[in-house]
Amino acid sequence: MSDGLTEGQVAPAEGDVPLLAARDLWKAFGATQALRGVSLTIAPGEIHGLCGQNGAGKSTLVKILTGLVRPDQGAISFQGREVRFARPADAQAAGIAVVDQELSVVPALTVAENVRLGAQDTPFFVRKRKADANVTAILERVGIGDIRPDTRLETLSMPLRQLVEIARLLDRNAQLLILDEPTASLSRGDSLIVFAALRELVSRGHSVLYVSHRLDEVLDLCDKITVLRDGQLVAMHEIAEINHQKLVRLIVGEDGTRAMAEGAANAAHRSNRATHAGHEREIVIERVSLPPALTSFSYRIQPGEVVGLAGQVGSGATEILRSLGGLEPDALVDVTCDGKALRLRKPADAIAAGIYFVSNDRQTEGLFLSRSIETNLVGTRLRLLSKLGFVRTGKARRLAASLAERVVVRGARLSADAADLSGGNQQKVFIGRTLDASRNRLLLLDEPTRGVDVGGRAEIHNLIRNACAEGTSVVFSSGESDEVLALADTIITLKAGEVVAVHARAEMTEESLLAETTGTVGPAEVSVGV
Amino acid sequence: MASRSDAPALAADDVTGAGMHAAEHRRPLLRGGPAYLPGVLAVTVGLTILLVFGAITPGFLTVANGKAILLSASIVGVLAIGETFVMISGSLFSLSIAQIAAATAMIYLPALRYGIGAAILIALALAVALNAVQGSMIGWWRANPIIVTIAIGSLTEGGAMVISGNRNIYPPEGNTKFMFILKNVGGISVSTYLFLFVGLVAAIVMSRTRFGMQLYMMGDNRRAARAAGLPVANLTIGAFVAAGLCAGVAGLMLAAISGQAQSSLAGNSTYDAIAAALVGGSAVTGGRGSIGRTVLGAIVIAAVTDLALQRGYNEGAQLVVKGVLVFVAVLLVRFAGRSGTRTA
Repeated sequence: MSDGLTEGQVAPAEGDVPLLAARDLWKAFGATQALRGVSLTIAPGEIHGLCGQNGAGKSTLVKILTGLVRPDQGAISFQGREVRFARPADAQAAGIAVVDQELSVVPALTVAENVRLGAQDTPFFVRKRKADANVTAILERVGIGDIRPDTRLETLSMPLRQLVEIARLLDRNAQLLILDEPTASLSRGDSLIVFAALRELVSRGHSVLYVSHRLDEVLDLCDKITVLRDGQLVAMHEIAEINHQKLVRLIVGEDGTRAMAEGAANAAHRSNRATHAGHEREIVIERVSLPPALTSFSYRIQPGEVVGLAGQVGSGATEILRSLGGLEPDALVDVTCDGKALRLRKPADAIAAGIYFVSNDRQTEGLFLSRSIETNLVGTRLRLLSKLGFVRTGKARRLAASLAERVVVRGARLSADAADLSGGNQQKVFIGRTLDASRNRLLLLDEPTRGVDVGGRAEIHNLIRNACAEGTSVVFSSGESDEVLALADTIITLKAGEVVAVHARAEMTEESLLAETTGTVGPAEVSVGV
Repeated sequence: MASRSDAPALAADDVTGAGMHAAEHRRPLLRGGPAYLPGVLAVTVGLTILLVFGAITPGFLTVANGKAILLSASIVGVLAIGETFVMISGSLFSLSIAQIAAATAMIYLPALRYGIGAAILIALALAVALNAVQGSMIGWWRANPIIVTIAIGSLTEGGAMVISGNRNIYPPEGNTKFMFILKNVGGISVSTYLFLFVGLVAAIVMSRTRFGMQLYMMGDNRRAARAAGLPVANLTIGAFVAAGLCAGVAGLMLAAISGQAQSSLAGNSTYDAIAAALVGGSAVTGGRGSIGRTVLGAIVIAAVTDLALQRGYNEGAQLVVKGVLVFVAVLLVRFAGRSGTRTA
């Protein structure tokens, strides 16, 4: 289909010239081939869904389209013209704009000021009435023309703020809007407001590329759906040709389920271990709640048990882990350990109780990047390594060396900066820092292998298994179903801040997992299929 | 706010690793070097310039002049050591240490009537208490260090003026014991020994103790330090208390040199102290710096000032030279980059 489009200037008179045609895009990051010949075509006035698991290549594709990353190979034409984006500003100038999960509107400014924020064509003296009329005209395009331009943004709800952000992009003349998980932080009702606006928008000739893990929303909203897997284009379907079940299968792939069956054999011998331990050793999470992101969660964890929290962005899994780790002072946390109620208001409380949290963001909330690897490994337990306030350097060095060996940090001097390590090794150091069998009761790992290559991933999985063999309990979250299935004894599926179901590992397949976390089966909804 | 400031720059990217790729383009100029490289470079550049100009300035490269430089570096040097604690801890810097030093001197001289030992204890206790207040506000409430230290600095100076009736404070009649700081031992003044001694103790604290190592970690990444269970509030207070002790010692030295005290005794020395720490390669964003290099920084600044004097430059030219020195140091720190952006 792309052959007819490769000639740069296609006659614009033709009605079916696509707004965007990306052809045969390839991109590698180091040894990782992120995209392998992906093509994508978006027509004017179309809402196009982009689906795939984490690591399927969605983000890379979006980054190429928005000029953040340059493809190794391939071509993009936009509005019938060949384009090459060297930087994000080029893509914006051409008319491609992205709405991130993190809004870039300013709550303290008015709606009008936000819409005009950063506009190049603002005159030195603003004629307010005329400017307001222009703003209103733009707001109308997303169906919120009744909002007064001088309303302060902070008085508006989250979905409306999102629409104001979209309005600003329209003011910058955006033709194609890319929305990356726009509803991750929105409730169902709020999402509907955004969807209505998007439909209004496409009826006026704009196009939308909608990236989401929430398959029910994609099926509800989009005209066409493109599915990526392992950096390759799997399928492109009209909405009428596809249903939820089929979409899940496309995303997971034929061999996805088979590979997981093999992982099950590995996990099977561990599944009984949890039950033999005495009940007095269990950690009872009576209730964790952090509205609005997390409604409520409770669970009894056995020593040595691995609990996998499976969910997509905005599922509440991160909030559960952060709250238990003492990082969310506003959370309601009711946990008893050995029959005693724990107070978990700050990280130091959790650590005193043997509960260690490993953030999903090792760079800002984990490592001390300009300190040595050695400091990173032992720096948080200096109390055990010092006498009268003086650190016993020999002892510290030996502990660091043994930890480095245990977490398999290869090819690095321990005196080198942690910043010099690869992402995978950094993550291993981060996890290794918390390992101490005599103190560990519960490890909380938020996306423990995010941004880690396959080899590092297997090693991190082994670290976790070894910790469990020593009696430490683990609760981890992962957006990747194969990781959950490979590692967890118990799988808890979450969606929009609520528990969908609790399963023993053996009950789950990649398909059933994806179905539960993306929304066909849910507590508030009628169960349909899968 | 201190830790927030560097958080966005380190934003982790998603699984594709594209962020890491992008980071490679931002690799610092002096890439891969150890963290102390910029400081060492700054001091080396300073020393080279000094030696070149010193060689052509008669009377500069002499033992006597060297001693004079050390003596004039001592007060600012001790204050700079105090600033280094605060800078490494990630609470920017303190803008009140000159006022604290002056207040210390003002309580020290009258207190001499209780004996010199008691007077020193009383004076240092005041300096520590004033800084503990600042550290508590910054550590517990996450108050902005600049605002807190400006406010406490004004309060201290103003309070001292009100209490003293804006008069000069003198020691009790005939009491000259406090002048011991000016004595020469083995041809070098006690003031210089005191400076080097404070530097040695501070260097040991920063490199060998749990407090020092935790201070570096907190300065490097406060959020991570908190998440790892380090006592971030107490560490911040500790950094300010250490700075207070240094300001107190500087106050004792000032009192001895002036023989009297008033609220503006320490003049602009806050800025000189910050400049010395910067020339030594400390970063106001935290986690970077060392006591040893701050000591060198203070000596380099004193030497440059001395050189400018010997060459007959006026005060304006001296200030310009000092400014250039700080500027070069900051640039070096900047281009050596925060290693946080390195991801290889």
